[in-house]
Amino acid sequence: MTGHPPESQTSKSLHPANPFSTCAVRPGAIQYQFPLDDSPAKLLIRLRDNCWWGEIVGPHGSGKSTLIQMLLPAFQNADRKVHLVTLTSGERRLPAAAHDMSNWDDQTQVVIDGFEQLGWWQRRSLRRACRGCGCGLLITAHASLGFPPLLTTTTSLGLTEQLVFALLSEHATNHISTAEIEDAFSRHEGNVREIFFDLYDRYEQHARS
Amino acid sequence: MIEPLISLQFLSSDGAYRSGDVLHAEYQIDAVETDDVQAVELSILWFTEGKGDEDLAVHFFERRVSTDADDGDLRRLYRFKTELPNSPLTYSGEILKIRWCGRVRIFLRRGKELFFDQPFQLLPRQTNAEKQDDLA
Repeated sequence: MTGHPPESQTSKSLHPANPFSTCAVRPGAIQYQFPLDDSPAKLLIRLRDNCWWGEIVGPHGSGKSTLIQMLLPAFQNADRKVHLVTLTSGERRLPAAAHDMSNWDDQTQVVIDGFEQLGWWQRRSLRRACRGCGCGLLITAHASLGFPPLLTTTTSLGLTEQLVFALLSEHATNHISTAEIEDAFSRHEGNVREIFFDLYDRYEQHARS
Repeated sequence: MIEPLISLQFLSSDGAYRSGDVLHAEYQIDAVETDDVQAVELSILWFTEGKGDEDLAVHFFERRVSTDADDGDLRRLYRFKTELPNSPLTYSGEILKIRWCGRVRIFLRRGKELFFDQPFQLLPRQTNAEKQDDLA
């Protein structure tokens, strides 16, 4: 029986055929790029000093969800029991599972990604519930909702290029030019999520032409 | 510190199989002490990749612990086989791609896990005309 040579490697998933595939760009797959003077540890200290309440504010596609994913291990290291809820557009109510607050206590860190999706009453109820249990509440939103400010996420062309080149570095063929990144950045007004979607299509077009 | 090595080899000439084929393969673990390997899981699976939500399903799964192996040594070469299904076939569309792979995951002491993926293609069954061409 003939066979092709065995390959040996550890903990290495297959590279996606397209570097901008969901598996490569979803929150958690890429790291949030902190400014030089900031870090997850510093951010956690600021949150702790605010009794574990805070908000991460920034426009669409600026890295809020990515930052949340990056903070999860830091919360665990700080012995916080994380209760993460991710709300997408139009979700006005918390999922049913989030209504069970019986085991929430002062070690619980509630994290609501997309807090502004909730209706006014839901937001108020959640705030009151968290205060009642003494648990922390970290939210993300596109504009301030009156929580202690933790971080404002922004994007820049330089940062976007850095992220794109990092994704392309895993691939032998580099189909995306700097001009295309600039064009996508301009058209999507710095929304990195949309820029990645755009570059996915461009990569496919180049690969097939 | 040297990371353990996992090798997985499909015993096919080109890593491409047809629906209904029997996939024969073998895996082996190296650069780790026998006692450090607590369990090994093998999966033959497909997953989607692309621009939207992703999907994954396991076609074949086998977990082995030390009592399942000769001399309790899970590192030794281990052969297995499984009949491949009719679908989903490997597909490379613009929006969606379907890929197949074998995955060997090892569980080490202190909760450490490592895995290795080896891709292959699942192609449609040969038509009678194609079979005849092959014979000719």
